Amino acid sequence: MCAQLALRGILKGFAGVPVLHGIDLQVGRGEVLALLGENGAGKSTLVKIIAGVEAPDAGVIEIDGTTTGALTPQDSRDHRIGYISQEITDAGSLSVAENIALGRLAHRAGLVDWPAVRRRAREALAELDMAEVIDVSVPVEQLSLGERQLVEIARAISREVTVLILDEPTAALSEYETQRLFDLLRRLRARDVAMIYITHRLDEVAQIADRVQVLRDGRTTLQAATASCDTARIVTAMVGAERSRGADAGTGGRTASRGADNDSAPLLSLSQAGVAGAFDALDLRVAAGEAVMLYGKLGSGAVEAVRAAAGDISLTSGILRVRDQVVQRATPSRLIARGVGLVALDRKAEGLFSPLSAARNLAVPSWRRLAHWSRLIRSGAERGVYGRWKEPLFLKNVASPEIEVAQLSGGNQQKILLGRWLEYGVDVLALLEPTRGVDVASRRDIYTALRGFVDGGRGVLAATSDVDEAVSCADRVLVMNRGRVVGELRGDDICAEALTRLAVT
Amino acid sequence: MTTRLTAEPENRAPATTRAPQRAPRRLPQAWALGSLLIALSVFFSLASPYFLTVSNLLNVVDSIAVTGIIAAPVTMLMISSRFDLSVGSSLAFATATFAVIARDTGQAAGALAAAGGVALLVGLLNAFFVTVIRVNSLVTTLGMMAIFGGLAQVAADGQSVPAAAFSELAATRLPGDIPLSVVILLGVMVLCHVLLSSTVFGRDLYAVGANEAAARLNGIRVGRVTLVAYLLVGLGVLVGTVLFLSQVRGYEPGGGSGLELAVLTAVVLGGTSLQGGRGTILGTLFGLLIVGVMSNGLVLTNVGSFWQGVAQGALLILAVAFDQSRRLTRRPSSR
Repeated sequence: MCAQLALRGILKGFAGVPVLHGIDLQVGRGEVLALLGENGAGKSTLVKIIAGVEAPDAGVIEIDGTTTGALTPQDSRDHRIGYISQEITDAGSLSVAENIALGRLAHRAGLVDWPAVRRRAREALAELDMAEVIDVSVPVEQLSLGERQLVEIARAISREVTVLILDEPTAALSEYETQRLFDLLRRLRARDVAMIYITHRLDEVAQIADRVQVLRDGRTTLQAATASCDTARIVTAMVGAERSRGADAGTGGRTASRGADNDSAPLLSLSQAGVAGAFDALDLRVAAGEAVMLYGKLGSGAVEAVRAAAGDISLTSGILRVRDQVVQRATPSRLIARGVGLVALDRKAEGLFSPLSAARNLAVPSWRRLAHWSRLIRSGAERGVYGRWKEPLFLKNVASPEIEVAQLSGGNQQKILLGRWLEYGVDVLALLEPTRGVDVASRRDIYTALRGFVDGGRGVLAATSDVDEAVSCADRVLVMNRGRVVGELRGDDICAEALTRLAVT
Repeated sequence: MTTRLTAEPENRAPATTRAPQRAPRRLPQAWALGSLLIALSVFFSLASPYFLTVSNLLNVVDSIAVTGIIAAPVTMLMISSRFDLSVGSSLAFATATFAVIARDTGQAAGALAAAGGVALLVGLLNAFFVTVIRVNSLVTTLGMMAIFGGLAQVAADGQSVPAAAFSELAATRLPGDIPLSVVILLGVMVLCHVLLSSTVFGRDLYAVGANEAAARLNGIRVGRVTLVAYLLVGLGVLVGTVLFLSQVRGYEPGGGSGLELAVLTAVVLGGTSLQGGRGTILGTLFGLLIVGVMSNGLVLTNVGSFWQGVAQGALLILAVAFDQSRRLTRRPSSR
């Protein structure tokens, strides 16, 4: 077996922060390499370099016997490298057949040869055993997320690839679809295609991978044949030896309130709750003085469960209660009125009011309270709000409360979003990935603020895909996988190793 | 660059170095608008001896009164990132309704109520299609513009309909020879300014325009805010209709056409962002004055009236280009 693709000494950083510290990787013809690691380990960045989406700062890429410092997306395609990214990148309103043929429609005499386009699309889908399930003439936006993912895979393989990269392809796939994908990968292996497979699910590794390579913080921590590794060895390589022993990352300062008395009436609860396509049969309680985290990867349903609890999306089954009162037809404004506020997943798209000032952003939900009986608000009231939270939220390096919020750092922006609900005075703070895209110092500030909030007898419900976050600030963690709670840890039982093990099996 | 100092360095990650985040700079825009206004005024004073006289300047303000009374609520609407292209047709239909009913029944009060109903109905329909059916507001109000422009012609049977009910309004002069229209314009502008800058509703408009999804997650009832904004535009159209009737003394076929263009130009020129979330009434006043001075000056310097449209269109494109360039040069957010 010889290497179809090899990377040597790949270095890459973003804005001066190194992400990859000299990675070597090779994958041979007819070999499946599983690339493993926690969020932020550098897996996606590494494969984007192979796909030509990112350029490395240093290092070489060897492919087809040629050596180069960087590939463009076009080079990557010319070398017959197929890349399936985590995000769906199809053209929603076009048909399945057109999507599979995108950019190279079959044509005759200047006209599109539709019968040939459809026939080739069906052939590509037949490789996945999906030709009968997916109609090639419907627009892809009518398919399920999993089916769209399969169409993207069909598009890649219809180009006769020699290297195929799949970045977490099964996050949106059903069990049946996953097995069809594995059948395909086995057939491609027989055709000498080299494959790199990124996943969070260790059970899949045993099924499909010949070799594993584990990254942690941009370095390779394990390279071995699948047969020679057990789960414990891989988990240790992913999370690091010291953390796998359950050492507390200890930053938020867990207090005696950890694992609070669950018999008191919950501030918020979900009973047998479900949202179609995301999660179901979920029972969840957030008690006063308790920080509950839903830990799960993309597609686990953790994010959707927290959004449903805050009224952002509607439950399709089950009951949402706030302080034992059933909430009917939940909307954000109804939940806010009952004391539940949501910090959104995407700061820019759903959180910040961009041209408005930092002070004004902090006061948004509190405007009605700040208004005088005459319904007028003074700007001074908003500056007062800012002054009140500047210290408790550790807002740093902010020139003025009047500065446009878009000009703040990610950490300060996140603190503003959090501060909104502190000023409003919610009882339950619902957060989605509370520290995504936030620097380390701000992350600690946020954990401190959350701990103070909880210790004041209120509750936190957060969705996270970051093990360290669950370890450092949760009193109770529900581990979610494919829409179900697969395990629960509380108090000092919460450690990286246990969480990772629960989430991947 | 300054290095951050932390209270407990041992407990913290290495301090990141970052320049203190800058204070906003809004001045250039006010300067640009003021300079443009002064430049136009200087140019026309040199080109025509009649331009820089008190009576002509009052004429300028009088001529922009109807546009301005509607542009003020439209500014609020556009700050919430919604458009209204139907104001000209709405005004035409309200004018025709008043003139026809007043002619046929002789009852000015009833006719005024009907005209008010028409103006508010257009706002209600716009809000319904934009918030409930979720049709893009440009398309919705473009459709309404065609519908009500047509209905105005239908109502008046394509004829001029005289109506003298408010004619003394236009003739009314306050001490100092100030036309009443100018006072009404300033009153509407002050009212809208206070609504926009100092009330919860005004804050809601900025929030909806800046980020509709975030507004919803912060408990703002986006649909209700939109409805109120369109109804306020309807009220503006009603007041504008009364003033228009007093100036034109009835309904004229084609009356009110082009009003939406003048309103849009004034609002955008005044710095209201097409993306929403940004804009002031004071800016719109500047924009109005520029539009007014431009058309007045072109008349005084004997430029053909056909060139008026060319000038106004050019001004609108210039304003939009200015808005766009401001957005492109803004520093991207640091991560």
